[in-house]
Amino acid sequence: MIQPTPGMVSILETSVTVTFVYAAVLATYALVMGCLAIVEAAQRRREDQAEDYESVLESPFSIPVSIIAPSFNEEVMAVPVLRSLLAQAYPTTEVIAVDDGSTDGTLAAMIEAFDLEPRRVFYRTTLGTKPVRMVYKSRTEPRLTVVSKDNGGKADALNCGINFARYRFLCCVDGDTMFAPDAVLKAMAVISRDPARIVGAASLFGISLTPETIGEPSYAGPTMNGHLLGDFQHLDMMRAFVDYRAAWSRLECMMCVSGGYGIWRRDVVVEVGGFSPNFTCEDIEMTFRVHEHMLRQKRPYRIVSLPSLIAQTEGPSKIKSLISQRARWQRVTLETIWEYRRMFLRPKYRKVGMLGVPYYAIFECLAPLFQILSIVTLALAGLYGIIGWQPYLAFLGMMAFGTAIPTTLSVWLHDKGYRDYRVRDLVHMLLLGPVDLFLYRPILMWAGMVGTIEFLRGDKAWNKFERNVRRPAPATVSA
Amino acid sequence: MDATLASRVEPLLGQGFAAVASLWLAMSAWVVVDRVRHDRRQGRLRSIQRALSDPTLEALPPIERAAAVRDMLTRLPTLVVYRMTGDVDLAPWVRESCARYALEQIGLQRMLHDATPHRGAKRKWRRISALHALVYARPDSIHALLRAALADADADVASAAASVLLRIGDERAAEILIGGLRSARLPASRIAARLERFTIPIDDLLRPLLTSPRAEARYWAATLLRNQHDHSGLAAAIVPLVDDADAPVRKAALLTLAAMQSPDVARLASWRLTDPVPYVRSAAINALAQTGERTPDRTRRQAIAAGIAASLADRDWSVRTAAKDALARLGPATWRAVAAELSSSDAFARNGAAEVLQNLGVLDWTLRGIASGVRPSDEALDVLKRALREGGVAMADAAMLRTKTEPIPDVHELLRSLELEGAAS
Repeated sequence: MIQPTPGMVSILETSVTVTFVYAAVLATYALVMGCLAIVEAAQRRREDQAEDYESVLESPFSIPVSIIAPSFNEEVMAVPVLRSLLAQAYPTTEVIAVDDGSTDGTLAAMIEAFDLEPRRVFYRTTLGTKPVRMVYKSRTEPRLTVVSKDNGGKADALNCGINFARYRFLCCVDGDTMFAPDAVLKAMAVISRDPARIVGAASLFGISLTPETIGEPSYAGPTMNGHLLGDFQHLDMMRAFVDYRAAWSRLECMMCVSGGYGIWRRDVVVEVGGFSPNFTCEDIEMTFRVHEHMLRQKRPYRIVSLPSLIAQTEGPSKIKSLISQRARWQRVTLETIWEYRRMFLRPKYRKVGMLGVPYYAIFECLAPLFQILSIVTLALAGLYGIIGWQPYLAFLGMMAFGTAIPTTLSVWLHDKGYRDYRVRDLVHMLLLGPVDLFLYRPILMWAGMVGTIEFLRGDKAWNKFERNVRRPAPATVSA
Repeated sequence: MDATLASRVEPLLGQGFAAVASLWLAMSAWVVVDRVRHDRRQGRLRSIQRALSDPTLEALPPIERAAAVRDMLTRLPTLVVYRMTGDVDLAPWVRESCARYALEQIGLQRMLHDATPHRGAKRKWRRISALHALVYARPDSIHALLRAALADADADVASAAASVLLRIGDERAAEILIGGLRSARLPASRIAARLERFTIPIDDLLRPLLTSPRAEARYWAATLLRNQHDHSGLAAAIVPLVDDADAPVRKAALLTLAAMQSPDVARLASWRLTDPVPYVRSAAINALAQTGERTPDRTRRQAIAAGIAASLADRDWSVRTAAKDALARLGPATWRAVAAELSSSDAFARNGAAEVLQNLGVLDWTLRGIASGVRPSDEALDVLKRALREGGVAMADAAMLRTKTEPIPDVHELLRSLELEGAAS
């Protein structure tokens, strides 16, 4: 046994105590969020069961929605995504696809699939964007407008789409996300109950390695990917939306309307100046900005997160790509928290300032640091005999099962509401819970550190991951 | 002190691990058991549903059919059956069977009590279930209970009441919903959506509201009368609302008169093209476009198009967009009225006219003509030149790509004369 100096023992003991306290605080947080999520999920479930979707679907008074789908080098996904958006079961929608200067065949694929023809369209430039190259209208689908513009990033492309949008509510989506036919209906049914107050809405979307399957006739509900990394990401999303974001939504400080699928009220987005291209990603920053704006002006508003699985987006199938993606998420969280540090513990910003922002600052931004310090501390404490190996393993086991409990809770809450996974998929998800700490979290931890370093370096790159390789379609046997 | 805490925690870690692992195991087992139980229940429901698809059973009256599912329902907890009465995902007949069974088990008095104003979330959902179930019992007090529920501050209760009133679908139900348009906490559009789906005529109930002192009532009356035919002077009763002090009412009146094909609509809508409120001007444009689309008289359609074309110079973007859409709807026959706006002193009017001419296909015809060696009329050529000048390189580019016209000398010369040579390349 290596003999540490008394000073080192003292430091390590303090560090071990800090680790235990951090774990206890996290457990308390998870417990509180879990309780809130149960209440929220029960309410949403009953609302969903009682909602008269048929009336919303057939009503000429349903609020029209402009769907904005920016894409950059989405040759494979662009057409299936637009088809899924045009197939939305909702009375009045328009789809504005913005090709953000793709260098592959994205635009050509859209032109061919939707029989597009170029048009000169005079539009209002409410928000400044990179120049528009050409506007296309479909000869077969009058609700579709495709805008081709110089590359300026996703925020710029969304702003460009907003300039073309006609309707009061915007549904901003990712160009690689496939939508279920009731994606807009489910969210708008909730919004139409209180359209004066609800300014933003998000909903759960799954991670799939081949999201385009959701649009296929053979699609019979969500399934696991059969790929460990993809399944962990899927579970991660479910935990985030069904458990934590639902709880934050209950507390009225939901801090992230995801870029994959987010509904915003156009007037509010324009008021705050549109999506900002100065951040690595646009979604979390927009949510913070809207909170800040509405609270500063003391206007009543709500941003909600809904638990229904309305879409599938492509997740990385390689660890390197996942690290790159999650590092970007960590970077934008840090950028946003730094930008809105004035809201931190300021009673003027109510629950957002007193709960939402501090949570993000302490648990999201500093999480990688705490986690790595904990691992190093516990390893050294074990090595120096400050903590015995048995308690060490017990703590590790406790953390593994402890972090699996929110996963189990979110699987249960989702299943209770929608019953859309097969039993074997549920079992698969539940069994992944305890191994998450050992197989998946270290990747996220590493990505968090990379993201933090990138933030400190001022890096703003999007780091788009390479698209997953599709399995070849089965050969058809001719008679 | 810190070190003491760490050492104090250490012996508890083993127990903590056992507790957390057991909790996870119990929760996970519960998730699977809960799902398996649900699937079994659904399986039973489906098997009943399959049995009921038998043509001989399908012909049975609802009460006898309900008896057929009774066996299955007795195996479910009464509260579950009670809740199922309000589950819109279930087929109406299943809900009806559930309601009748719940009524039998719980009793009418208890259900009536459940349907009264509630306190607390649990009671709220019982109230909603009771309102759904009581539709089948139809007690005398059902309308009063639904009136109270529609006025409730809770949106879930009010929304459920609106749905149940639509299912009842009688005149009293319509009356309650109409009352709710002005008093309920639920957005009026959600109530109006239900009123739109009423199968019995409700125009006699809406008509008195046209003269209501409340603007909101006048608005919804005018809007919901849109699908009614103009009988007993209904349109005449709506006409004065075109001059209403309230802008939404003016808008609704114009659109309803257009839908009713009132002979006065063109005159009234033309008058409202100068309304101070943009969305009323847009509604006037839409009303005119509807009238223009229906008229077989080409001269009259031209006149309507000319009226709308003037709105291409409107100061508001939404009105200009409405004008562009309306002119495109009126078709290519009205191109001269649109082309006249190319001479406007207003830039919005000029570029709007160019865009509409492009969308009508006027530019493409002329360009194709030139490319194929057919000299267009001077008028057509002049319109093409002026439209391309307004639209700039982007419009010329788009036209060339659309028509796939080779930049043959004549087209090239035309573009060069307009300083739009870039388009040809």
